[in-house]
Amino acid sequence: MRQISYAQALNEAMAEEMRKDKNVFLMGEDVGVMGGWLGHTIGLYEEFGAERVIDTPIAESGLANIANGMAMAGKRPILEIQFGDFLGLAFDAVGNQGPKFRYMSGGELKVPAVFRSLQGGGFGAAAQHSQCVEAWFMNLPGLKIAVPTTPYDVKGLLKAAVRDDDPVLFLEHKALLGVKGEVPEEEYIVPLGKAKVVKEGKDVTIIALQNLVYHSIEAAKELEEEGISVEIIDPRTLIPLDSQTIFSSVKKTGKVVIAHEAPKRGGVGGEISAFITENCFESLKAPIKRVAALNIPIPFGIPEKYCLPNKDHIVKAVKELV
Amino acid sequence: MKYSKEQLVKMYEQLQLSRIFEEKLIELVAEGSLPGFYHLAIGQEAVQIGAVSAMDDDDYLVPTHRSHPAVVNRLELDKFFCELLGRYDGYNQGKGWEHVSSVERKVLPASGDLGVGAPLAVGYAWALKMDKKDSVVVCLCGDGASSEGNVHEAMNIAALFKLPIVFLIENNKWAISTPFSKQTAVDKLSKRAAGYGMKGVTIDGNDVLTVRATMDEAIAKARKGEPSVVEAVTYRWKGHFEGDPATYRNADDQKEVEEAMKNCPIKKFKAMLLQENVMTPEDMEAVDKNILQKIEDAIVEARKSPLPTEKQTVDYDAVYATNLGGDLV
Repeated sequence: MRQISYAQALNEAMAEEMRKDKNVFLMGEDVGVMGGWLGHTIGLYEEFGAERVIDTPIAESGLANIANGMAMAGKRPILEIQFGDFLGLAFDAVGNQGPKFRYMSGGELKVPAVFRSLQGGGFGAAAQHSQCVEAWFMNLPGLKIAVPTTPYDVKGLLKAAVRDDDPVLFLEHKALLGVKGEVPEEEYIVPLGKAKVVKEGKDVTIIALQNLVYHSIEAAKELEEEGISVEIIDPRTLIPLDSQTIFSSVKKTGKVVIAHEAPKRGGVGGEISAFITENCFESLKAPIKRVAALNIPIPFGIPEKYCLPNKDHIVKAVKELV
Repeated sequence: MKYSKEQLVKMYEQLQLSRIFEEKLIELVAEGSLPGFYHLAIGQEAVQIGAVSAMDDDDYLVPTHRSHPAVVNRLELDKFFCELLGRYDGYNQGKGWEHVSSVERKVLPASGDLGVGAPLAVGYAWALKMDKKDSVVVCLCGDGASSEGNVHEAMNIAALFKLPIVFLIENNKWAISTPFSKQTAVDKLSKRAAGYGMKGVTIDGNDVLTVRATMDEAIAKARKGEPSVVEAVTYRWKGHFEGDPATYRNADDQKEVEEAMKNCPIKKFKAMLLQENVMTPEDMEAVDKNILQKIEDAIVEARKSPLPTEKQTVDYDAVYATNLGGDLV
């Protein structure tokens, strides 16, 4: 099968959905003529023109609410917020407005908007350009959250998100943009709410998000050499969360490590951990371990590595369990 | 006179529906029938009726929390009362309440967060433009909300993309307890329009015909892709919500309230209609009686509608439109 990058897969998903449905369009800062600040929207402006690939002023809050208004009017906007960190500026629109209108209108209104944003470290870009922000949005009814890891998933999940009638916060990891993987030429979608078993194993379950999935794969190789077999699960979406896939793995291994790049305190690891404890307590043979960032603003440059989780942290956590 | 007898009588009816409707809300709040807070526009009716009467049926309204006059004149009374009383037969199954919306009546929801209506309205207007529809969005906003960043971002983008929208700022001189003089250093909010490359005017919001004529022109221009800002100056007679004793108003402020009440927009319009022989006192009395009867009938009907059940309330399909598997809980 052909191999393409995460960025190309993302680009293809948008192009295909825009060709399929005239109500789908892309808007955001520098998504048009420039082709995206990391080149991930190259070619879309040329194909679809300025009315469907819209370069906007810098106004995250206003734009996200504009996307809500467009979606209520029957459009399917994809709004790019350049950095996940900037979602703080659009928090009310993404979390508190769009997700509420279906319920508050008694089902009459829907808000099929996709809020795409690039999150995560790896660029040494300091505390306000490097964060993983999924946990900021976990406490908001009505919103869905996708956290794609592979080129295959970013394409399939984004297509599903565009077709979904609910607002979806779609958080891509910017350190993964260049990662290549198998992506079929044929049409497919990855449904929201289906986790992936990345690797089967029997001793410990690792539930990992995005970049930490790759670190987990590396950790697994090292652990296999010592005779420890890990199972790796990538939830792919946090709302909805595929609890069944997680629970069946936990019932098999009885030991869990949850790994994500956002800080541990208040991170989604706590939520997933509580969910497992509430539902699979009898199967647990040890306390659940979390591998996550330190509670420190991500430092500029090379020292970010002292604060972000990596393969070694995962290996250590697994060894503490077996 | 620029407007026909029929149009003038219609405006009288709309003004009186607004006033009598809100007076009835006061009664319902006093007897404990209405949960939540009610932000009354008594004394400000001319602003919203001037706007609503200038709108076509195909134009969209984005209201605020203080927009009963505009909203009650766009919606059916029975279903609106059902909504306010939290009944299942309301426009939004009793879940919308003061945030009521209706696709059919082209009323978009008033967000609970101030200033948010402006970018929502701009998004809606943008979608209308993309679909080459002829409709305009009239976005209501108070003087208080005009300080929100969202309003600034919305106005800038509306002007930049030439969207079919009119921003009608209803300046009632109070943002809850904060008087206009403590909200901004500008004397006229319409001046801000120039900063976005839009036309802005400030008008007497207590004269319904001035508002109507201004909105006629602003809506016509918006339909051609020229958005603008209209600031209609009025005064908030009551507290922020029904039951707010407004103790923050000092003696000078109280004098302003008394002046505003003397300058009642409905009283003024009535005097003009009588003087110009458009209506007789008997005509007016008949209109008023009819409105009151309709309101009372609507309340009786609304009370027959059931409250949402627990099952209808705790319904995840009402929260999410699509559930493709996985836990949403």
